[in-house]
Amino acid sequence: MKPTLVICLGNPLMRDEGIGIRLASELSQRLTDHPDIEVLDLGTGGLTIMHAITGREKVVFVDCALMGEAPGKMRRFTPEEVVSKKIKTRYSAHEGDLLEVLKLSTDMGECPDDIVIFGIEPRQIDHGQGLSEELQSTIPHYLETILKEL
Amino acid sequence: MAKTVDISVHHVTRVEGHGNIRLRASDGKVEKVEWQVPEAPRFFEAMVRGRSFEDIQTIVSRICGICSVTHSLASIKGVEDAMGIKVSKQTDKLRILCHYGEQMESHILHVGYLVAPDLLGQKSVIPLVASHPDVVKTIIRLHRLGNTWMEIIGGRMTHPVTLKPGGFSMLPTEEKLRELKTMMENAVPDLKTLAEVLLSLADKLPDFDRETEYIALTGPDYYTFYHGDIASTDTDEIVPVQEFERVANEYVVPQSTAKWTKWHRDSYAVGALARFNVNADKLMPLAAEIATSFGLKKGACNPYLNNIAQVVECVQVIEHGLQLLDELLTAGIKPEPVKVEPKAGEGVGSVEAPRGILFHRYAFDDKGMCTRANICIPTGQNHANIQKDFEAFAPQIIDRPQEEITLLLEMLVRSYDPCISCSTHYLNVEFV
Repeated sequence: MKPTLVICLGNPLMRDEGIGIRLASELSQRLTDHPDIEVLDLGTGGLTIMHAITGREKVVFVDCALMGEAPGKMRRFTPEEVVSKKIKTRYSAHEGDLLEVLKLSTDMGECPDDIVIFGIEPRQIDHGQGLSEELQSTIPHYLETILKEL
Repeated sequence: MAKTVDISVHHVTRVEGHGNIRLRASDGKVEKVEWQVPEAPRFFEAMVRGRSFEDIQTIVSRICGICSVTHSLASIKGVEDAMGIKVSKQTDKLRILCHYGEQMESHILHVGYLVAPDLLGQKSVIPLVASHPDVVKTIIRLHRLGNTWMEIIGGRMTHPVTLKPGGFSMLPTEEKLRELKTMMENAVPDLKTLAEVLLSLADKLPDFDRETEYIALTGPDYYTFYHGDIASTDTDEIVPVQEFERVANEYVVPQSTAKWTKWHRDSYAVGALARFNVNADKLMPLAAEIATSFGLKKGACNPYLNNIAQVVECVQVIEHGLQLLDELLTAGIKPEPVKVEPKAGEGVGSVEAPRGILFHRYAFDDKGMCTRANICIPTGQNHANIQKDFEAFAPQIIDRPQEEITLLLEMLVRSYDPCISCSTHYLNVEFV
């Protein structure tokens, strides 16, 4: 098991919600043979996240995030620096809140100490494929920033 | 005093997909009770038309994220039946083993995350971490085993990539299978713990019996999820899977976008309890012992017991799975390149999904392109039975407080472990 894990989350059928998955393929290609870093596309996440992070030393998440920023802006933060405003309907076992899953993992005594989240502000979360121009044109910057973190 | 009850549960929680409960009663008399399914159609049967037999598995595995191995295997068996393709014993055993991993993962997810909160007085599994941490840890370990199990054989936890007509695109190594064997052996104490916890809560399961027709696959040699033909508790007749349409008799009703089914009665049930009622005498020893500890016997007709049957089946698939693993490791895994020549034909593949018997029918032209498909899913076969359960149960509980009636009807739906469909997950945060 490699000590560092990059988990990219997203749904490419919901426009900018798919930014994580778009970056997953780029990151995978650049880090294919890295001895210490693994990249995972975990799609829409959920409790699978908990299983994936157990046993790792550092986990970096990449995900679309509503942060009140300009579309395309990326921010780096840790779980302690934010509170979730997500309204959970509890309709579906697939409904995911990354912060809630991380808390569950912490309560289970399994969460790595070093967790970093890269949130990318969307312009559009809507049915459809393809990223907004603001996100598409900023991909090189996102990649450079994430790779520096690693 | 007149008793008026008006319950409308829009989108029942802790089930897969969307379903609504409507109940109206006045003067203590039930006027209307309905299980409504408003889920949008998926169009998979149309999607596969014009596609190559080699693509069918990839497409239909997307019908479900929890039963993707099941749909993959049903479609592959349908292709093989249509084209007369035979597979080796090694392929057969590996497929059954992969299928077992999915049964376990699905049952644990359902009993642990979706049903346990009801029995422990919580709204979801999250608060259980504080109130019952050891139970949650056990469930998470077992769920993790199921995921890894399917990854080792199917190549990926969800939507397998190694299963194909004729065999495997990539075989698991013996080293990985030995790892799997150790994990499965280590899971037995956890399963016994889970069974003990459920036993201590068994009195919280509502007491509701309704004579029901149960339908499942059956075979001569063992408690089957993969091979066999169609059996019913209402008849000694065993129907070849190729004739499934005369068992399912699908029809459309206004209250549901999913069809209903019926055979000897107005409805029938499929799933773990159905499989138990058809095949209990073929359970492996520890699974049989667990069933006995719950007092679960053939002929059980309380739908809430489906979740007990699911736990029994978790033990069954581990026990039989370990036997299959031993056989595979003793023989050694041998490379088996797959080459299939397409030909025209029509065939049916049937396997047991965690939530019941599944049928896939396909027709192909001489180039192996699909011309027609019909897929009859287990939850679709249960919808009519849920409705009939509602009609029988609602009058029995109508004098209870409205909140209790609502919970009992929701638990009834959940007991079937319905798989009706998925959602977005983006973060929404405020910086502190």
